[in-house]
Amino acid sequence: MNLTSIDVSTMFHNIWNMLSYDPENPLIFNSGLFWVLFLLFLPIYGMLKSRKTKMMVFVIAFSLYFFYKSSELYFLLLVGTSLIDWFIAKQIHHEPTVKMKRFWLTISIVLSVGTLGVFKYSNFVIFNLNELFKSNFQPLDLVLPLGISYYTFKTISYVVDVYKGKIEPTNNWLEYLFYLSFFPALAMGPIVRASHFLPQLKENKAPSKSMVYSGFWLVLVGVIKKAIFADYFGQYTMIAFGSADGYSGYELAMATIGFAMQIYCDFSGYSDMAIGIGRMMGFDLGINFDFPYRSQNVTEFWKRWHISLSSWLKDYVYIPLGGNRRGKPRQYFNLMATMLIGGLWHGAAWNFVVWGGVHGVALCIHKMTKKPLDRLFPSDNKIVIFFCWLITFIYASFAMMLLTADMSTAWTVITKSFTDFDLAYVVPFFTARKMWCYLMIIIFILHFVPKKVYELMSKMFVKSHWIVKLLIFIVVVQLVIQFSSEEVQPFIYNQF
Amino acid sequence: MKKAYFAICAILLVGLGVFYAFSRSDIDLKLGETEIKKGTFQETLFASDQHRVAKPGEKVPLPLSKKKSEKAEMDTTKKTILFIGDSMVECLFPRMSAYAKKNGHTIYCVVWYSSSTEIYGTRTTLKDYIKKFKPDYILITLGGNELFIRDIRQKRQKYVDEIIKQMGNIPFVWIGPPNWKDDTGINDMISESVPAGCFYLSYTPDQHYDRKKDGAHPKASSSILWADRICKWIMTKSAHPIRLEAPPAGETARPTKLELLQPLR
Repeated sequence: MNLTSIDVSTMFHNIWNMLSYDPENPLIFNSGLFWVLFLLFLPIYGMLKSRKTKMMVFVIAFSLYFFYKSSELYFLLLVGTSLIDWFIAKQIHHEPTVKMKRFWLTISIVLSVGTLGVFKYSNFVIFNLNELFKSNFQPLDLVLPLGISYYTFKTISYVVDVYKGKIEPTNNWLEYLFYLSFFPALAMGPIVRASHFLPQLKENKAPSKSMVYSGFWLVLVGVIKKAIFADYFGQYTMIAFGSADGYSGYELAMATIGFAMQIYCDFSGYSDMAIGIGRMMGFDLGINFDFPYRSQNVTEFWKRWHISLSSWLKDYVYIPLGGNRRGKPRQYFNLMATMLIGGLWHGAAWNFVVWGGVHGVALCIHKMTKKPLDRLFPSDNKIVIFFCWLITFIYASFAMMLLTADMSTAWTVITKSFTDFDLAYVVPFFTARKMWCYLMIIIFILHFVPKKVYELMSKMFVKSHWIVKLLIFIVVVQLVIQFSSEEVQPFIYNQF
Repeated sequence: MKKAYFAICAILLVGLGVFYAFSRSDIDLKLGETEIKKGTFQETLFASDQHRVAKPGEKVPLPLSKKKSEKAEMDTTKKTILFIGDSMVECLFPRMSAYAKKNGHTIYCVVWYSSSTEIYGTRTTLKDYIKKFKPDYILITLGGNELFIRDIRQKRQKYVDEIIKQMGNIPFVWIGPPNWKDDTGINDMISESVPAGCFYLSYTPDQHYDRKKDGAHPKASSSILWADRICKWIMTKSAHPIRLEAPPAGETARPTKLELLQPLR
């Protein structure tokens, strides 16, 4: 390779550009840049691991850079939040009276929710005020800091747990900042609780060989889900929902199922990468997805989907509201309120609220009808199981669509899927989008493969020779390159 | 732990090194019929700003030659116009033909259903029609089938450049797609690729077109409005103004010749 001086200066210029603040290009785990940086990060981390304070400072610095890359100086917001809530948690712990403990708790929650509200919901409120009162308030020029929804929930749970006496506050602010800013879980969770994370940090055990390799395996699984399946499915979803009027009911129904799988692969893939990187560093971040589309009812779905969020909502919203302890009507109200908050947490738009509401309604209906239906239909009957699964899957898929489509598009998709559904499209659809269909079949099969098989594969990978690991890594990256330039046929023959 | 970290670093280093070397090499590998694609490592590191494919969402500074929009004199001679593109040509040609008829131009229309910049950019169809009809003015409309393509610049820039290259020195106007939703950058990309005054942006807040049942193509009445706006713009604001006096309101006509190309399977 002949590198001229111009090449080298161009290279440094490009590297500098890549490393600079760029909101359009955050440091995501399936980017080449992240892995180059991780390649530099890992050996230093390994050397510092036994010297806890130095290790923490190093990881915090990397995490804050991770934050800075997409949110510039807003990383100071995270630092400020950690400092305030660390201090408040200590105050709560030391206050002798419940009244004062509650006072500090209120301050903390108001500050956390208020900050989230300003950055995430201000423009939503302004938009609705303008719509309601025909006013003309200008939207604010706000940047949504990276992972603010996630770290806000983390910090709230920490302060609440200290208030309830479930955990002792940490005396070391660096430990708390490390927990809150931990880069693997910073951008998209999991919302790992302090009660689970801080003891691991205090112990600071070096990860075993099998932990490092199984973490790497999980990262590769996540890359496959995110960069191959999700991104490929996403192309068709974008096109079909982008011009829903031009598509038949069958095509829109396929796009709906495609989006359900896309969002699962995207989100669970990213979670896998986050959990895998955490594991490589010696931290267990729990599990976030447990094959949600195997669920046979909506209640089960929520025990398998985005587990860290659903358990957070259960523990810090549903149960404090009274849970199921105050009679059925109140339980249904609590369920609806929890799901609406959950919906709004996903995004500042009405379609997210409706998404939460749709799930809330389904949860209430399931709770109401469970007993009579269980009496009518034996739960061990395979046909009953199949239909329970099918109804849950279809319902969840159509509800998922609300996470990407605006209300009018969602309505078009739903109505056309049920009124303009023609099986004559099956063959042309398959002919035009073979790869999409193959990938969909593969992901369905993979979704129903027993967990034991995955565990076995992980163990085999851990035990394999490093050359085998290298080959698997190369194959995965090459597949990502191949699929990143593959395109889905936008329109069926003669459609457009 | 340290041994495992060393192994992971070795895997990453060797793996990324292999991909980097492959992206720099001239070797083309195939697995059966499938081409083994190369990553963009080489380009990411070594391409200069002028030659680098922009990142998604990135605004690319225009070359100086394209920044200046010079006020051009109207060419009042009779033109041979080639009007070519995707199915949007079908919406526009009846009214455009009326303009051609009124102003003494000859207009050849080519509708290639479901086509895209990729389809035109990877074939010589445009060049072949230029050879066949010998136009001295080209109207091209493409992009409607690519409104929602992700990483549009990485995927389509080369095809847009190729299309512009095929048109050579013939004056042209690229009519942008009449979006029914925000696009992922096709309009920006085309407008930044053509010389100033050669791109008509059909997606502006003051343009509203009623759509056919498919939700995408403008209805006949809206297509007339669209064509009227395009012709007015060509005559008054484009880099190559030609005479396009308006025919009576709503009047349409047949083109000199119409060719319909079926979608690729």
